[in-house]
Amino acid sequence: MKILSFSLFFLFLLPSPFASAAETHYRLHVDGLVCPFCAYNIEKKLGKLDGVEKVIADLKNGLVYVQVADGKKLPEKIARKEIIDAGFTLRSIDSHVAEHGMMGHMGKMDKMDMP
Amino acid sequence: MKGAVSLLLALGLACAAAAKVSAAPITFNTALPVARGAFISRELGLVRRFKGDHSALNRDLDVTGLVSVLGYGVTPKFALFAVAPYLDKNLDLNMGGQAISRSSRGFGDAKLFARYTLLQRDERSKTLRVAGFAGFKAPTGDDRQLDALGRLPIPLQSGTGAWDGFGGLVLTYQTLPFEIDAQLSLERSGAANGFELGSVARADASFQYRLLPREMSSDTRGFLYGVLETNFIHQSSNRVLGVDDANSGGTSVYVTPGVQYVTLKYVLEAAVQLPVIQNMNGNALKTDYIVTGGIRVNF
Repeated sequence: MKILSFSLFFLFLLPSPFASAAETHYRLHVDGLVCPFCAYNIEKKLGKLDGVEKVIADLKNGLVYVQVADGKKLPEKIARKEIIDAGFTLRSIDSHVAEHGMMGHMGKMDKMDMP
Repeated sequence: MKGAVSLLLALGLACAAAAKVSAAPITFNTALPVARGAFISRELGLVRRFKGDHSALNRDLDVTGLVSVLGYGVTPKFALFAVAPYLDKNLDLNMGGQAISRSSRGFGDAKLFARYTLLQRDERSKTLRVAGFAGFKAPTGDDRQLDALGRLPIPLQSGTGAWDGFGGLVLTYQTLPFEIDAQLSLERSGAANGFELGSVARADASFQYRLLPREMSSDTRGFLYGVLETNFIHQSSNRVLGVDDANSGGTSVYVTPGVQYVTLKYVLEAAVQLPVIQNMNGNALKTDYIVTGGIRVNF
């Protein structure tokens, strides 16, 4: 039994053959976003959307990064509604398909696209 | 005593009303948003001490309490709040050369109010909001508590038995390094048990400055703010059986230094409210200090 448990544990640690190679990342420019307590509701609302895997607010730059599953999209109309519902204003949104993890991608986007 | 306790009630409202979002003021309201469908709760503990009574009564009044607030975002601009205070009041006085202690304990009058955002100007890393708020206080607290001396005076009761109305305007300007809030409000009390609290007019201001982190990074998830607030409070005299009580009401100015630690899910805060001007009518009690501490939670 112990051997079976250990085997299952290590199996979960292995990369899944079904995992997507490409993820779509969105960067939302959110006006009025100036404190962590406010950012929570944006992360919560966007995080509930279908296909959204990860949401990270970057308070310093007034940005929200959204990672969605392969094949999924985050339409601007829906993103705008969720940002307005959280009490803020969506200025613009841009997307990028990448094969790296989200944090690495954030760094890359910062270097390439920071306004 | 009446003036002092009624002032406490007025201030209790203000403290409770402060239970909003973000690095908000500690002693009053903010115009920052409550997201649609989101709840915010705040638990605020307070200790208030009145002393320095130079009359023959030599009164000392201590009030400790816990104010619970629940807020709900109906729309991004419209939020509802419910406030339930639990107060423990203890009055020591000298009557006929004898030391007497009278006290009450229990849930006070609940308050319900709505806030609507009238103006919203969002820019990158800054926001300006103006909101109006209005509500009422319902007589849910016990106003018929007794002790060995008989029925407690109304200001010492947990509830007043009256319906009160209040409203005001609040402005918030928030940037990454600092936030400024300002509020004007009025509260009008109803009459019950032959007693009517004096109306309260307030002007409040708050400045919150981010102390830590000094330099932000993209993954900063928490701020430590230093807070400095001022409260100008004018209360007209109470009315007892239709007659103004000359020993109640007055004008006070407080200065409140404090700290706030703000994260995504919660805010921890503490402050000390110190009177710098107290022109109280007659022998109305003066506040020595008010200590508040609390937590706000987003869910």
